[in-house]
Amino acid sequence: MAIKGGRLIERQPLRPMGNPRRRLLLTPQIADFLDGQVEGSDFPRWPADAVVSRYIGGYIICVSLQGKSASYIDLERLQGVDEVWTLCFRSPKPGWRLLGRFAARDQFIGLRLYNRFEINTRPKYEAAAAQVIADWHGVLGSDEPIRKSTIDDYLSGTIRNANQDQT
Amino acid sequence: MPIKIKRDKRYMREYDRAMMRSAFVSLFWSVVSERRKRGFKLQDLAKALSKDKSTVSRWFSGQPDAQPNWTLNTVSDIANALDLDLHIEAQDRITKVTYTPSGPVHVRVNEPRDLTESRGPRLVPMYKEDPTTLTSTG
Repeated sequence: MAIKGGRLIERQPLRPMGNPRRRLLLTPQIADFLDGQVEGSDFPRWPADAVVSRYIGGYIICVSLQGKSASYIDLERLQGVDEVWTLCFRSPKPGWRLLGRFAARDQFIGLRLYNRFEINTRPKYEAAAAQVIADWHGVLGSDEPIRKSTIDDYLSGTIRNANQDQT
Repeated sequence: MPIKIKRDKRYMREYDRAMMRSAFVSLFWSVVSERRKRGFKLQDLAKALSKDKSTVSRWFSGQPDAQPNWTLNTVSDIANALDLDLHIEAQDRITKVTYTPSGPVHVRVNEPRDLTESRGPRLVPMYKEDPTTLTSTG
């Protein structure tokens, strides 16, 4: 489904899911990249498609709100920048990060895709985050992302909080 | 020139497996996380299953390619440990008929009835083309 005059496309899981809980909207360029339609893309990969489907279907995702680098985190709010999140794909190598913001609860807008080496230092990811914020205003105008304090404010469905003791 | 990966049958098999693993992990975590609000701990589950707490914790983290490939016995054991009844059903991707271990599911519809029939909604098969499912109770 094209949204915002074709500037965003709603991503669908590879198989229909009974009652999708969350929405993922991407730029057409990122959608094409994830589908392997762009020169140099190593996508599609089934683990990445599964991450997308788990997110959309409301399945378990591991979320970090307060910055915790760990290989098992699926979705993380970047620290020191204004409401920029990253959805993590471990495959293909070297690992990819979809940067974006939440327009509403359960509605993530993915605006930039980087391999993890492109944003592995603070100056690099701050520059990437600034680009995401600029893209956001380009696509969504004066709409603001949600700014909340708990994971529940951003996401429904099944969540594992990476910042909580898991005993 | 790198090999272009296609979403072919083999690819979809891996994807479907990952989603199946994820569905069970997600299902059990939704139970565990609700119960944790009332004091339940992962180590309670680990103890009930005679597993290390770290093993059980690992089950519920990780990306789809790292999620546990439980046997059906393990699924049953976890359900027992959490005092859950599992309900299994499947849906035909083409006909959309839903199946359970006791057969296809029939939907209840309210439609004008012949007054000579007994009262109550009729059970109408979802998959009308199959004469073997044309059973109804009036």
